[in-house]
Amino acid sequence: MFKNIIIGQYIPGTSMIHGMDPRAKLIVVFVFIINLFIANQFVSFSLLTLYVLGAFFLSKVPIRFFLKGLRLIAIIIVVTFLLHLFMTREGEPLFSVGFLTVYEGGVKQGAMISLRLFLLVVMTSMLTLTTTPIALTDGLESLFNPLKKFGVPVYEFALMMSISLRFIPTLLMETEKIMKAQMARGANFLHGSLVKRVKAFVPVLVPLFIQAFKRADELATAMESRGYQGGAERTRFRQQNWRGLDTFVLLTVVALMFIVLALRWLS
Amino acid sequence: MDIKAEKLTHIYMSGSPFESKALHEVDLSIASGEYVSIIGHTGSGKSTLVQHFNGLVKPTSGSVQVGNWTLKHDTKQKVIHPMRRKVGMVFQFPEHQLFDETVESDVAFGPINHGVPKDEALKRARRAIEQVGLPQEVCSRSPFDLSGGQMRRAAIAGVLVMNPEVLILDEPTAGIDPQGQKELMDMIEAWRQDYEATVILVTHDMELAAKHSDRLIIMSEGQVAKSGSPPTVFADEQKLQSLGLQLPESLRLWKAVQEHFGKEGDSLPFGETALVEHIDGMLKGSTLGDV
Ligand SMILES: Nc1ncnc2c1ncn2[C@@H]1O[C@H](COP(=O)(O)OP(=O)(O)OP(=O)(O)O)[C@@H](O)[C@H]1O
Ligand SMILES: [Mg+2]
Repeated sequence: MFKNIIIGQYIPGTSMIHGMDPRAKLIVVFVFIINLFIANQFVSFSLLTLYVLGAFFLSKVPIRFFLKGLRLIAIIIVVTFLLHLFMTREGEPLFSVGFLTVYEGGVKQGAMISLRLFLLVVMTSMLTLTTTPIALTDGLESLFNPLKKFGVPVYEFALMMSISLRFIPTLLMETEKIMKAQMARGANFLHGSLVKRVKAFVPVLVPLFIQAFKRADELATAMESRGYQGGAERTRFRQQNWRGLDTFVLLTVVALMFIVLALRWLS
Repeated sequence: MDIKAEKLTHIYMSGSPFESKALHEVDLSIASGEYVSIIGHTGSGKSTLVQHFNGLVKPTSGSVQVGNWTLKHDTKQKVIHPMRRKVGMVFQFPEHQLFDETVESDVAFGPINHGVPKDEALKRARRAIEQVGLPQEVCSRSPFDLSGGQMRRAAIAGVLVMNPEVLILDEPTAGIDPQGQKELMDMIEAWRQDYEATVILVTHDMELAAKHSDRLIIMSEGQVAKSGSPPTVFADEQKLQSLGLQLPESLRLWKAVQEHFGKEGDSLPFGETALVEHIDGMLKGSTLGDV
């Protein structure tokens, strides 16, 4: 039912990218996104695209699966492109269709924005496809750790995040199960007017929320009865381990940043 | 309504790295009015199989014939909808599907979805609530105020209310006490006799399966490993064990008793009462058997 959405999914694997430290991956993706917004030259974009392609092939994510999962995003990107194409009035007019005129600036602007969007989506899904949600949370927690000094409840946020991530598949499964149970009683989620279809979800949402609250309550009880305490200094079961490879990859993306910056200044 | 599966294969999330094959070329048929139990190890594809019978999942390849309907991988939702009225499905922990403000309107959800006028639907709902052995006063209560066992009955009423010709129960007795289990199964038995319906029971409980059903179907790794009447299936103990299943407790005790006294008998006792009668008969020296 939810098989065409790959954002947030994890594909088990043993590739070089799977093996990287989650902290390194997070920083690399972050720097890469900054690069995307600095870039304004054709050369810069080509370099960034190559970088993403490299990451993709190193990650060994099956290409057909990946493309299938991008379908929804592709629609958004195409719409963005078309909007910019017709709305931007800069540069030479190229041609016109009916009352719409396409300008040179529109093509450039549209291409740039949609390429940015595309690379952003691919790069971030590279991160989530090769890192377990738990490793991601651990990574985020240790990156934000310095903020604890300023009273930011980093640990609690991380816990909230890992619990939510942990329960997303459970909730999806539950949703599917309840939908099936109501469909077996003749509920129809696919046909009828929009109002009708939205209404059809009430018999799904009510039990879903009831289950979710019950589960939250049980989890809280289970944690408390095992003496859980939020702030306590605890060691980790999964150790993070930063290796030479992580430093190397980080250096490549920083180098890329210098190039992109230089290209921007030189233009 | 006869049910017939031909080369039924189901693959979950086909075409993704998470692909998993739940059923592999299953051929089986269930006659109208039969009481069939489907047993098998966890993950053997029991739930997937029965969900085909009312179109909740569609075959990846092969087909399922239910009465006059044929379900294939490209069957349209419009065709499936009327089929669901004839094939009722009680899921595991059915009480998780309750949602409405009152028990009777929750039970009436099915008939209303199938176009029965509201008054008539509520009338049928009250009858179904009575059939499952709930007192009439729960009709206007919130389903969430009921006890666990009552909630399960209310949820089952929500399926029986449609007078299905085929009733599928996926582990209906999970998580309730032995007394409650017995009451539930007896209630289903009584309902079946009144309506002459086909019943398909998915269960882990061999005793229950043996006691109530005409035929057992044993699933293993997405295929039918064995099918036949309880005595024929239980005769081959080794095969059962190789499939990770055990004989029902009453049978195991009966075998031990027979061995102890050095006797042999044809008929097999299922359930406590039958076991007691068998042992009693043997000790009194009467011929083994007739129960
Ligand atoms: N919604 C689903 N998505 C993906 N795979 C599934 C789904 N439901 C079941 N499977 C897989 O299909 C196989 C058969 O599952 P199924 O639920 O039919 O087994 P079962 O015999 O009912 O097991 P149990 O006794 O535990 O209920 C299992 O390997 C399971 O992991
Ligand atoms: Mg099951």
